[in-house]
Order: sequence, then structure tokens, then C-alpha cells
Amino acid sequence: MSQSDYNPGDAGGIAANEQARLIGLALRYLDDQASDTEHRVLNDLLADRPDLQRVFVSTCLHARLLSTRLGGAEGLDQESQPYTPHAIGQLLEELLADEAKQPLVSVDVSAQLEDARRRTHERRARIQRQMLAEQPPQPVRVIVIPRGLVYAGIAALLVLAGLLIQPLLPGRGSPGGLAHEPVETVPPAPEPAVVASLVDQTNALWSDGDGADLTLGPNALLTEGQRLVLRSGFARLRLRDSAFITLQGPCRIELIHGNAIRLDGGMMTAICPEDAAMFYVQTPGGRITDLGTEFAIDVRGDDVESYVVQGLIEVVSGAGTREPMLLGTDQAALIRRGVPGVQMLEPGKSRLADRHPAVALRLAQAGIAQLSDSVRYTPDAPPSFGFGVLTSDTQAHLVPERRGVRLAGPVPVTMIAPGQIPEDIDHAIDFLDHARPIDSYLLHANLSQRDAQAPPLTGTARFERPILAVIALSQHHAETDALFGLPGVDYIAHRDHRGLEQSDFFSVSPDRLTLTFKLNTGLAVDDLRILVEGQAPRIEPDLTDPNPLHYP
Amino acid sequence: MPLDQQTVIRAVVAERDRLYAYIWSMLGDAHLAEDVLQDVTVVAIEKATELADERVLVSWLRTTARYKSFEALRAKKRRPPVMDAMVLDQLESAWEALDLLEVSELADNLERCLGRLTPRSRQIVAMRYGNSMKSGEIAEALGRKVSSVYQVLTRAHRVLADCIRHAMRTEPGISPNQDSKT
Repeated sequence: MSQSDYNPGDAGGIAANEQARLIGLALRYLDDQASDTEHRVLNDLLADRPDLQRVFVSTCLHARLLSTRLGGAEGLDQESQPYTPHAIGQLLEELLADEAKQPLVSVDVSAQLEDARRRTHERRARIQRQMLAEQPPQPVRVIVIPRGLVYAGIAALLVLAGLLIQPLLPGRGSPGGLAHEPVETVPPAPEPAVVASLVDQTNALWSDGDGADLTLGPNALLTEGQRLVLRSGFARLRLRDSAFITLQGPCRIELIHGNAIRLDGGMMTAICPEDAAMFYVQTPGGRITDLGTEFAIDVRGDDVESYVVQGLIEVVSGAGTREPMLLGTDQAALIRRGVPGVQMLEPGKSRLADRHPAVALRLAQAGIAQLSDSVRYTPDAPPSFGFGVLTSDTQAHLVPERRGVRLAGPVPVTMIAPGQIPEDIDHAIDFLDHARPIDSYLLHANLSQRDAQAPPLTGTARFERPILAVIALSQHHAETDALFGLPGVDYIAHRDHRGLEQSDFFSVSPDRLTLTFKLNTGLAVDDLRILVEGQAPRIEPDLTDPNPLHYP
Repeated sequence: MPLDQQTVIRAVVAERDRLYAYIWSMLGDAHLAEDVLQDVTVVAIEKATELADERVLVSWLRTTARYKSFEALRAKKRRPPVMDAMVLDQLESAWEALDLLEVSELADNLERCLGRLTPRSRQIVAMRYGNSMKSGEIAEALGRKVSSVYQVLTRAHRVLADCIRHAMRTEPGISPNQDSKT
């Protein structure tokens, strides 16, 4: 950089208030006076902002140069300057001045440096002692008060004392004798700004930034700089200026401001309305900025994976040249702490694609703990479960049906859980009689084309509550469609060809929570109806509420 | 060919202010920065002569300063860490960009630009940097709030930065007019 290129203020490119904010924070930081929150804000301001980084560096250098130049000001005793000039600096300059007389290579500078270091410490300690000892005494003022005023003052004090004592006397004032609270004279500290609210939570356990248990109620207000640890469960937050975020425990976040958070570990999904400000997430590996989208992030140690569910995001590594990379729908990328660049992931390789927190939350709210292999959760039922309607050549659909069904009497089922597909499946029958509510799910396999050579679909579905029974035969389906099926959905088409056969397989684990299946669905539709202990109906929050923060 | 001690000492003297600012920026603590600068100086005198090329000396000094700063932070068990590692990495570019800057000239300009400040700002700048008073001490001495002191210092730094930018481009004349904002 040449002298003429020096641009400490960069006034043309940085907003004045941003520059002032940075310099103010930098000065407090250099004085060791910045709070934890100010440290974090300073870090966030500087991250990925070369223009502000120049201002910060210049401010540090200017502060140092002001100390050296003003510290040697005329009329001030050199010894009274705590830090300048430094003993070592003096020594080095003396050595340079003497170089003509004595070759430096022969000087044992280490010993002299140690001595200089000792002298510097001694001087600093002496100055600190002086500063403590020389606290200027408060000046004493002699004020002449007229005698009449003195008498009047004494009288006023006596009256005031009487008024104060009166409530404490027996039979007077309040029963406890404590009628008057002390007057608050200390002005309250300014409260941190509210930047987000808790929309809802599912099985959530919280800690604060220091690890202490934290209880957050419905619509809890969250403030700038607040650090939260979601130890387990799910939570949805609404940021003041931008996004809805879904967190999946365990994860650690900090609310930077109304449109930014820091994700230090764990997973989140963000949904950003089109008119929202540019929401960004600061991570150990870099920054991810929303450009109108739904996206997910997973921070595991130094690795940060981001995945776009829909829309567009910008990913910037925190190291190297910090070239931004744009990701579109269904694209994923990896950034890593300290490693320059953004690494694109191959299509279908993202661990977030079907597993990000918003999906996991939907599953949890549907009573499903986990799906693996060739099965996907399909929350909305099709108009018909007939052949060629809700198809997939690679996955079976798990569709929620009626919830909270109460049985009037025994219903026919193929198998009471636990166990595995009966040997003589065509003639299997049992009866479920259950007094408590039941939730029903339909596992539906339906290829786009009939193909006798199609590979089987295999997978597992783990539920939050125990499986009571499984229905796998066409006849049992037909007898229970009206009871467990969704109203308005056509279960009639192919009603005789939806049952499982000997070549198919299913089992329910001994703890009755996991269904495992293998379906050969080459020429027909395969349906498994899974009946599970019911859960209480859930009330969905109104996400269209125009007021993003619910003040109590 | 290894460097001689004279070259190393010259470099340390020339880089002293820049190195101190660099260390201070990492530590956020003036006293600790001074200790680390002294450690770096000792290491430089003892080890930098092993370097084969003078051109890498400045970056070597900065690398050593960074290492020593982290060591000092660890020794003090400083919590929370003052600056993110990522941000420190990014700041390296900004420090490197200053390597070719003539610091003594910058200091001269800075001193001249003090004339742009109002008497009140100059007084507070002098107390802070000339007398090494903490902002709380300045506030107490002047009967003001600490936040007011920081506001004045912030504004003063902005005026000085603007003035220096102008001065570096239009050497040598700097108008001593006071800035009406401060």
C-alpha cells in the first residue's frame, strides 16, 4: 500500500453510523471495557467486511500512535508515562545509536533485554502505586450559612423525622410497621432490545449460555445478544426483522439482532418471507445469507453444511478470499473453519435434504421419531390411493390418517404388535380392541409403472408411541377404511390389490416402536396401515400473524 | 545468508508501533500487549537471525506476535476469547496492506490532524492517550458519563481518520481548521 492509498475511514463506502459504531466498539475493546455482547457484535461487524476491517486496523494503529506521540508531550515527566516510551524500545534505539562504536553481533542483548523488561515492570508498578496514592483529595468548601437558616433546617429535619417514625409507632400506620418502601434512586439500566419470540416448541429442554437450565414459556421474548442452548426437542423462533427458524436440539445459538443469528453447533432450518430483510447466519465456517428462500444448516464441529430447500442463498467461507457462492434449490455446500473456499456437494449427497429440522419437526409433530431408507413422510393425502396417483419408484409414502379414533368394538387386523408378518399371510386375522384413542398411518408403495423386475422398497419407520397393530390384507383394509381412513379420499380403487403377499415382509420391534418393511411392489399397490397409540390433538400457531412479536 | 542482529533490531524498531497495534488488536488489553511485544522482541533478537531473507522478516514478526498473543491469552485463561479465529484470519489481510505504509509519516500526519479537533475533544484525547487515563477516570475527572467520553473519542477518531486520508493524498498541506462537529 502506498501512502496515497491509505484509507482509514473509507467514508465513501461505509455508512457513517456503521463506521461510528465500529470505532466506538473498537475503542471500548482496546480499553478492555467491552462486554461479552459487545465482543460478539464487534466480531460480527468485522466478519466478511474488508472495509470495516480496514477501519478497525487503522483505529488500532492510530490509538497506538496517539499514545506514543502524545505520551512524549512537552512538559510531562517521562517517568509519569506508564507505557511510553518503552524500556525495550529505548534499549534498542541506544543499541542502534552505538552500533558504530561496537558491533552488535557481539552484544549479549538477551541479558539487557531481560533487564529492560524488569525495569518496565517495576516502572509500571511504581506508577500504579503512585496513581493509587495520589488520588486528589476532594476539595473542602467552607460555606457560611445564616443562623436563621440553620434553625429552620433543624426544624424541617425534625418534622421529616417525625413523619418517617409515625408509621412505625404501635397502633399507627401499617400493621407491620413497614408502610414505606425505600425510594429507588438508581436509574434502571436500559433493557436489551427484543429481537425474536418463541413461536412454539416440542419436547424442548433449554439452557442459557452459561449452561443453567432455562424455562421458556409460550411466546417468550428473546433479546439481542441472548445465547440459548436447545438441549433436545424442537423450537420455532420468529425473528423480528426476517426469518422463522426451526431449531433441532442439541444446538447452540446466539441472537445477534433482528435479522441475524449465530449458530455454533447443531441444525436449523430457516424460512424467510420475500419481503424480509437479508437474514444471515454466522457459523464457525463462514456466513450464510438468505436471498429469499428456505434453507437448512448443520454445524458439526468445524464443518458447516448448508442446503437450500427452495430459493437462493449466498455462502461465504470465513477463510481465504471469501468469494461468495450462490446455491439454488436442492443444492448443498460445505464450508469448514479455517479452510478457504466453498465446496459444492454432489446432488443427493446432502445429509440435510430429507432430515433438516423443519422436516424432523413435522415428523415429531406427526408422532414419527425417525424414517430411514426408502420411506418418506407425506403429510397431505392424495385424492386417491389408486394405482398411478401417489407414485414413487424409490420410496414408499407414509401418510397420516385419522387421529384419536376410539373403537366401539373389536376391529379386524392382520397382526397385533409386536411380531412379524404371519407365515400364512393370506389367512391371517386378529382383532384389536383398545379403549384409548388410536392414530392411524398408511404406508403406501405405488410405482409409476408396473414392473415385475422392480427392486423391493425397504425401510423403517420409528414412532413416538407404541404400535398397536398392523393391517396388511386388502380385506382388512376394506373393513377399516371408513374408520381410520381420511374423509374424501378414494380408498376404493384397486381395493382388491393393495394387500401384501408372501414375498413381502414387515415386522414390529419388541418395544413396538419400529416398523421394518420390504415391499415387492412390481405389479400392484402395497398398503400397510399402522395403528399407533394416539396423542392429544395439537394446536398449530398462526404463522400469518402480522405482528411478529407477541408482547405480553 | 542469515540475517545479522543489526538488521533484526532495525526491523523491530521500525515495526514496533505497528506490531504493538497488531498485538493490541488481538488482545484488547494494553498491558498485556506491552508484555507480548517485549516477548516478541526477545524472540526476534534470539531467533530471527536464523532467517535467510530480510523480506520475510516483517511477516515473521507478525506471525511470532500472533503466536505469543495466543500464548498470553491461554496463560491468562481469558474468557470469552476476545476475537473469533475467523475474524483474526480475515484481519491479516488488512494488516498486510499496512506493511508498506510509512508509520512515522502517518504519525506526523496524525499529530498535525489533532488541530482539527475542538479544544474539548483534544483535551479528552490528550487525557486518554497522553496521560494514559482510562475512560472511566476521564469521565470522573470531568464529571461526565463514561459513554460521553467514548462518544467524544469515537468522533475524534473519525475526524482524524478523515483528515489523515485527505492528508495522505494531498501532502503536505493540512488545514488546521477545527472540525465543527466535535
